[in-house]
Amino acid sequence: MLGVPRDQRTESAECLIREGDVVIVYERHDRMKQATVCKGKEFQNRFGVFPYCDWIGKPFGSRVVGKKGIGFVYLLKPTPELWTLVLSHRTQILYVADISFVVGFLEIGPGKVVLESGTGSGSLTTSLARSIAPLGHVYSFDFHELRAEAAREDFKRNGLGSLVTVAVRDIQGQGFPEDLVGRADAVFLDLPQPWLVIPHLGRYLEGNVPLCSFSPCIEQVQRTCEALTSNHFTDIRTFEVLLRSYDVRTQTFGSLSMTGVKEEIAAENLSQVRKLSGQKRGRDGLKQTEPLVMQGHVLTTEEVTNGKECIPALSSSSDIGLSKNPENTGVERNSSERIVARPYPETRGHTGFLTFARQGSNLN
Amino acid sequence: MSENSSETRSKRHMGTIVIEGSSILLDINHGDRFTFARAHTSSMVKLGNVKCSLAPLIGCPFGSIFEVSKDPKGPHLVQVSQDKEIQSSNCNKTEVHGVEELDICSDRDNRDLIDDNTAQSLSELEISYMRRDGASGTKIVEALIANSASFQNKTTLSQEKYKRKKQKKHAPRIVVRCPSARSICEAYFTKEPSKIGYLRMDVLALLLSLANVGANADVLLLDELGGFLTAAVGERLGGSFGTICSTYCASKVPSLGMLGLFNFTPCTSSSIFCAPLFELIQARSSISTAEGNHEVSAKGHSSTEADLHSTVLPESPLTALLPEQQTKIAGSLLDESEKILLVKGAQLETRMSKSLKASLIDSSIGFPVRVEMAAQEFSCSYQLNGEIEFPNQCTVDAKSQLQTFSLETDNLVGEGSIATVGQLDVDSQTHQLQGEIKNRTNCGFKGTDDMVHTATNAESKHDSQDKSLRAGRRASANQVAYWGRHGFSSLIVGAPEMDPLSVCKRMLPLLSPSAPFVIYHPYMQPLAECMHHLRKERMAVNLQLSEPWLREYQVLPSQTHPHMQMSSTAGFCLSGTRTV
Repeated sequence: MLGVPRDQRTESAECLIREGDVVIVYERHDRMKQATVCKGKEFQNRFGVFPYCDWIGKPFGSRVVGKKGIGFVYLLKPTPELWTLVLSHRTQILYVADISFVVGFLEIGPGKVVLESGTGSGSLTTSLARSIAPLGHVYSFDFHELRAEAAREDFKRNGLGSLVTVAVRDIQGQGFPEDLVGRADAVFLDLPQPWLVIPHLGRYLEGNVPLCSFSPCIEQVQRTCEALTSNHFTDIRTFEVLLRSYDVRTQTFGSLSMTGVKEEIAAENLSQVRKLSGQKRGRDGLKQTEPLVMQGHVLTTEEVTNGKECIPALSSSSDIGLSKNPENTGVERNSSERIVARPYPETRGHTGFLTFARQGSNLN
Repeated sequence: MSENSSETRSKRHMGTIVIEGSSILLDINHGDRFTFARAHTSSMVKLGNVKCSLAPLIGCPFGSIFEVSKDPKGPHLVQVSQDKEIQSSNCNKTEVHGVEELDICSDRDNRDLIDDNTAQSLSELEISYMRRDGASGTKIVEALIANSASFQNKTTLSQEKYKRKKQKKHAPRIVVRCPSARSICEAYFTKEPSKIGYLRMDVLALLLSLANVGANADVLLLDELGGFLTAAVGERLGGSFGTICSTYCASKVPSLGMLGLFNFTPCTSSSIFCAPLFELIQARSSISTAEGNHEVSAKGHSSTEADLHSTVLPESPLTALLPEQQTKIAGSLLDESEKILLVKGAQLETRMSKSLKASLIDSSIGFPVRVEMAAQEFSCSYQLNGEIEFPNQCTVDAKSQLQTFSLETDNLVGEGSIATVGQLDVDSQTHQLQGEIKNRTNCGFKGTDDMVHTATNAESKHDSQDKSLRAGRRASANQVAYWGRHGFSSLIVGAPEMDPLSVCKRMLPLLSPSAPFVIYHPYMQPLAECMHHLRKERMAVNLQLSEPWLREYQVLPSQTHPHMQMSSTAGFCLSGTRTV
């Protein structure tokens, strides 16, 4: 997953898929899966069957076709961002909006040492590892043994094994290990009750070391901030980040023109008259003729037959109806296909609040 | 692991205390004003209507708070206890007058408050007398509170707000902060967003993540945001053996002035290059060293691994370049269109002098000459002396014609894109030259920027740290050829005035297969059109057009709510992965 150092770089090491590589299989927008290349085995999805041996030797980014030419997928090189979208969710995970903000605000960079609790599914951990490589380290803790092991395996498969140490430990109950005092450059907490740990974090955060706590609930945030304040933390700030995604497509727009208005009005009047003549009879049994009202204006009989000028023609939906009607040849429609974008109607509303703080410095 | 930890601690030292000569960010009155400065003993800052020296800040930990203290010697900055500050800024469950009170349950409110400016009985004149007599800011604030008729009837929250407001005016506070991409971004976004192209800190962070900036990356940048994006990527790569190429069209060399605000180590700076787009495209399509551009390359020096390492400077940048290779670099930078290229050699004999090699094509004599100079760097100028080396074809007459040697460069390596101008006198007999050239923006930072504070005066001879050395230097032919062969590992575009689709069409081929790219633009429609075409032409997958959203909250007991002020928008990002 990580970049290869220059002196180890060859064409193949960088670009081509090899046996054992983790590959991101891109099926469609919003549908991606992970796969580990294994000669002799096949990757199956709704589009087709893809033998792994076909992939070996192809460069990442290639489009591969399935057996018998049925179906295709793209094979992408794993990055922490893609990994977040394909990893197996053992727990609720952080997504790129929160992850990128955390990494930026905690000023995580190469060579830094980061403490994280809990590991969860390793989504954030993977990004942290990418940011601290090659000389830094991530010490990640989770109190669930099986999940910790699953995370360890994921990191190893992605080539991050030497950068991440996952340990099984209940940080809320026990705090961070003693041997990490004074070694951290940033601390990240994703705990149900972070206020229990905060009083004990002072020693780990000496020297302007930033802390981040992620909590979905506002009550958790409030208790966390209270604990931070009473433990002499400073620069306490709470944020919420979201990404709004846009759906981009083309659409044909009808447009209105002034020519053919007369004809349009006449046609509409005609269809109105036709509708009304089929109206129910009044109580006295006689046909009721109601005055024709167009756009709030009551039309006289003359206007109905002549067609009043300058009354705007109908909305575009009925426009379409008119154009389908072969009798109305006077209507001119300019249609143009345009590229348009609008937000997706369904969007992620909330993941959690991010609270940042630093240990207050002591007066010299 | 123990080596790692001691290494980490010493590295952390960089972000822990204020080091003399480094760039610092001053947060005045909790976000009211931001200023960048250099931590020199002679640097000054203006607070209210007094100027104070920044000397007391040196050696203090970041996050330290200072306020002005009046002294017979003159106003100076004094560090304030953290606890006092925390209490007034964070906490609203206060112990004002010894009473703990939650405002919602308070029986005080503002029903009787009449806002007609008569509540304060202390006059402006009396306040100025107090100040003249040396009363501290805090004393003045206390006096104002004591003389306010309406203060007692205010709610606790109101009282705190009042106190903070008076404190900001009469006892301004400075918090010294470490400049990082995030804090610089936030400072600029709050005060002068146009300078960084309205890039908000969460958007910046998103760009860096989506572009997979990390170890051993070769990042291609089209940065028209004042160089800030380049610097932020540089910070994220942090000397971890990757490279950054800030590219440009025509002769519009990217401005890299922002690089000076970051305290980059030589390792980090040395990974930042710039190269014109046509060169990169040529290299990529031919996958061989661009021929015919350069004198030296035409002589056929082959690109060896040693050359690559020397230009890339992976580990010890200061010793990596040997004199012979310096010449090659200088030679390979000779370009018909460039008037002068000034390259700083990596050999530093002493901290005070640097050797410079320059190749000049001077139309006045019609021959290119090579100059080797020793330069003594002062904060605002270079003192140079050296010798000119003429090519063999140059006649004696021609040699004597060269009377002055003018030095002018747009991409002076070491200070980013900062113009250095001057004229040096050439001795017609010995062909020695000496003189002084002014380094326009080495006096603190660019003077036109409101945010930026000219910290030093011209006379002071300060040994500026090598932090920004060589950042933004022109990439050598070898380097360009390397990128042509392997492709860049990602692309970030921050060019609000360029059409994203045309940028993609030209620059996506420069990427290695399956490389991520991200384009930031203040407007959505151009990105939507770009996305549509990329999809249609199948040039990329995993395309996503996103609008980042950020909201800050005030979290206080019974007073938790989002901030009243919020940024409505900070542009759009189109991200994707290049397909083969």
